[in-house]
Amino acid sequence: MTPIPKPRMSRAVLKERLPGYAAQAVLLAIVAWLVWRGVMNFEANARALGLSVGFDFLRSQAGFQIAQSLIDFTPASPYLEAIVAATLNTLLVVVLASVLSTVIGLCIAFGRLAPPGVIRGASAAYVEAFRNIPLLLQILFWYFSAIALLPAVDDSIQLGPALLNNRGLFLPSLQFDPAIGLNRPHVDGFDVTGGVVILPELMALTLGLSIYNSTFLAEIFRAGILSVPRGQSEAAASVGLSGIRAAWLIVLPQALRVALPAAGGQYQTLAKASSLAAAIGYPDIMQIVGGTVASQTSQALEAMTLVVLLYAAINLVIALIVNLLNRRLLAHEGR
Amino acid sequence: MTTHFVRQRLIDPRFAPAAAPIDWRRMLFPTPAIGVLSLLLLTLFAVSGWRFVQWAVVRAHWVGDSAEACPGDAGACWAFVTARWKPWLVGNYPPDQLWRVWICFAAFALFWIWVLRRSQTASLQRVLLGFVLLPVAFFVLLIGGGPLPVVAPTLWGGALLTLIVTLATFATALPIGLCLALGRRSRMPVVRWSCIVFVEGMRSVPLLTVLFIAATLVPLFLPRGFTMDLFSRAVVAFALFNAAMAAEVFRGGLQAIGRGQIEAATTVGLSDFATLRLIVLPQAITAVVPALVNIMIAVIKETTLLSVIGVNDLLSAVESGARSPAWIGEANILTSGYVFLAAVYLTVCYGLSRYSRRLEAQR
Repeated sequence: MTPIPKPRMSRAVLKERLPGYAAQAVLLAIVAWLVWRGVMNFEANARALGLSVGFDFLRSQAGFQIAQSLIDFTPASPYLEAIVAATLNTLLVVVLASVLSTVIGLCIAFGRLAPPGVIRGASAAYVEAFRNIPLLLQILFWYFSAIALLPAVDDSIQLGPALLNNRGLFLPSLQFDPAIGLNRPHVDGFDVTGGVVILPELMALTLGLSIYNSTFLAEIFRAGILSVPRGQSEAAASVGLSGIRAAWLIVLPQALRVALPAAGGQYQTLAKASSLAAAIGYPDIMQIVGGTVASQTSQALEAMTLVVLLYAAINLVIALIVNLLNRRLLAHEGR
Repeated sequence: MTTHFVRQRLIDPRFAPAAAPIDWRRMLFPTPAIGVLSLLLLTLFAVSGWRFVQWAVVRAHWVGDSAEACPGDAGACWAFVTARWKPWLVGNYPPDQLWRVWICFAAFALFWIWVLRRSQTASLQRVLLGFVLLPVAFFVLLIGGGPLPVVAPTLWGGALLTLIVTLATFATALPIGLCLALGRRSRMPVVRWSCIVFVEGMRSVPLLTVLFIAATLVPLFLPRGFTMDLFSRAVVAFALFNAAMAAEVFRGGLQAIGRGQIEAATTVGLSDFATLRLIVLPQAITAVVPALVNIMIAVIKETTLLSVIGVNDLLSAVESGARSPAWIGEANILTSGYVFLAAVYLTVCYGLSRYSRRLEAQR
């Protein structure tokens, strides 16, 4: 019994595929050559400038102060902790701005679907105005123009237990140390003691990011709401639900199914746009890692790699959360 | 006697129905809740509108050439805007060579008028070709060489720089983006995967990070002795970043073309390349033109980020104006500059977004 011959690539097939293989080989060679040249140039430049390479600097002492930190951070802490503090600051502003922009976006979306009149016109004007002005300009405006108008510490604006002045918004905080209670901020000479402070930088950044992104979210939510058949809200009305309850219980859950994937993309855009913090000096990833750490250690390559990886990781986490939410929304689908 | 079953004489046209008068009460106050909200909004608009007019017109300072012209912060400081029109428009471009800038602005205005008023016969592809060729011509004219004295890009600034960066980004990002989109659909794994890695990598990083990398890191990877100025590096960063954005747009357009089109083209004997050129691309590109205009709006807004890395764009020109010795003073001066800039960007971007919507409606 003769063995079955192995199927061989026929001449014709090989001839047809050869140009493709050749092109891919050339592309690979070009990419490899570029990378190799880049590495060679980097080595030469690093040697000439006396730069050190590697991530050892993460354990050495940072030596700078961070204006706002969610963990205990002192100039004696290592660079690694500075990077953790910066990442937490970015996450803080992303969460705050995401929540705020979602709330504003939903209100504006329903406002644009209101019967013709003042509310509809105002919502449309809001969207057109704020999404056509560059985000950076809006953040700079809030920071340098609006917050500069706030009063100095000694005549702070009292908002209930909170204080508002040009050093930030001082909120009361929970305290446990002598006794459980509220730690109210109060003016103490030229300073405010007690409570927690929301820095002017954080205020301006949150405000700018929320307002700018709420216009895009409003359009996404509006498209989602419009995709819900009219019969749904009519049926809700006929079983006696009020307008707001019908919107909350019937229309919104169905609208979110359509809107969530696009909204997720918008939250990713928001997270990336939070890097504009560097322009007003809010201590986030871009400002601390890409700015201070990179220039202090002069290890720009390592610092920038960290920045890129951190933003990519944040984007991935947002995509994961949106996917989980999406699965939960679809799991309730009764149809 | 003949009987007609069909009418022989035309009926006189009827008058158009008289327009019903607008019922303002129903429009403003359909329900009590909406009515209260509307009233609140109207009061808010009236109060803030009145205060804005007070600030921007009634108490504004219009003329002057230093911060002394604008005492206090009760009124806007338009003197700051009018006195510094030149650095805002052209940056530090040499005064005796300014005619080159005016030619660019005029050519762009004429081109844009042609784009808006063009007849249906002038295809969108020709418009896109214009957008690719125009910036090249501008670049050559502005930078000079040969009989014209060379003007380095570091001297460009203000609106001129914003315009050039926008056009140059558009001109380079579109072809690269198209190649990336085609490469992503390629059957060759190496090509496909390099395009995917590039596009997804760019999309997961903030533009500011890309610009920082271009500003601080790229010189380390260039050969020693080879320098590339910050402006060119920033333009390359812009182009590559937006190419990734354009690639996603083009990919959507390519996906919208049915398989039948390509199969039909193969049936009539067109080669792969001819199918692409004659059948696929014309349909795909026409389908995504409104989305491309949206990319242009995004690029115009993104050019403000150049001020963060120290390129002298329009925003940067305003900020350095407020820091110049003659204009150091109240925060109000900078605020006036910001409000003016906001109005400029709002006009341009809103106009473009209306144009994009018109294109979409025409389809």
